[in-house]
Amino acid sequence: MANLRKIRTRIKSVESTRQITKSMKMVAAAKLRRTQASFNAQRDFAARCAAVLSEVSVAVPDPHDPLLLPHPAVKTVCWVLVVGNRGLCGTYNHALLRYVEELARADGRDCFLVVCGRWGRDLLPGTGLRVERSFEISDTPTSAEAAELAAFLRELYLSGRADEIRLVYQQYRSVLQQTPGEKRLLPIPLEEGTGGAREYLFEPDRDALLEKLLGLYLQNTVHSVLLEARTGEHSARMTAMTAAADNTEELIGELTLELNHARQSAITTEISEIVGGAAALRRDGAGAP
Amino acid sequence: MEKLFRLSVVTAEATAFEGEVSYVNLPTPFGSLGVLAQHAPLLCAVERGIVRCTLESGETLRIRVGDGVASVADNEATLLVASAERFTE
Repeated sequence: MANLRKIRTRIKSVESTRQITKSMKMVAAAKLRRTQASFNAQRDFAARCAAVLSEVSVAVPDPHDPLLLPHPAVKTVCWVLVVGNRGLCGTYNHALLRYVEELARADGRDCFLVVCGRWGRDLLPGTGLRVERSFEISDTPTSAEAAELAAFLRELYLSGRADEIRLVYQQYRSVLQQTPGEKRLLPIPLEEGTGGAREYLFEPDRDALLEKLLGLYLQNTVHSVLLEARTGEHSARMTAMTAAADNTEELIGELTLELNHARQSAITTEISEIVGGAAALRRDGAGAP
Repeated sequence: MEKLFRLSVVTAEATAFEGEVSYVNLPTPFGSLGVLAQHAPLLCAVERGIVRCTLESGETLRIRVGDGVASVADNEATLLVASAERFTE
């Protein structure tokens, strides 16, 4: 009987775990939908912005905006690490941390981190990488948050505290797949303009316009990377929680089977005891006069 | 009938407006600027203010916009702005 009770308690605890994982999966799915919608809207904006920028880069053959010009010597690299806000999302955060450690080691130059996201506050000091500053980024990054981060990074670059700024984040391939990757933010990698050789009028003037456009581009890139990373985080969590919920389902099945076995053998023992007892009684009765 | 051209007002969050208009008036750092169909290619800075555009039906639509950039080319005007919000008086 003790065994039966043990199994029942076990089933109950697994059931509550299932409830938790199921609801976490649902929450992640809802957040994923929201982030994905912003991500898509943002992508449209980014594409248009890039098109305008390429037109301008054709029209301005020799740009001298400080955001475009590389520093003469790259001594310090700033890695902007976009991690998740929470754990329980498979290898999402750990893989990224390993990736950035690898990068920093292979690079060899002086470097520091700017961390976006709440995860890994206790883990990062152990890696020996210097954290310059941490940013709190919500689960669906807004353009205001992106603007704050972009302004900070711009200042970091212009003041010369960093000679190169690179974003490290989980690139979103699909709901099931995210791969760690990096991309240069500053100096801005200007693509060779593909725009037509149209004669544009510029108001107020080229340089002022370029400056404005670059500001827009910077904020935009940061925002899209934040959104991409968060979309990946929510999908990773959703996948992990789906797997966990499936596992609890399986475990409950196994435990129920075990419970039934135990109950059956308990009943069998009881019956055989009763039958044995009855037979003994009958034998006693037959023997009496 | 007035000639029409395509206008899109886009922010990072959403597309605030997309459609055919016959006239658009933009707030710029050097005053307001009117754009009609077949305008020469133009790139200009947009300041926080109110964009007024005349729709095909003759109605005037007002959109409150944030800082940004406008690009006009090939009979298509695109406004890339920090924020945009339609309003009626």
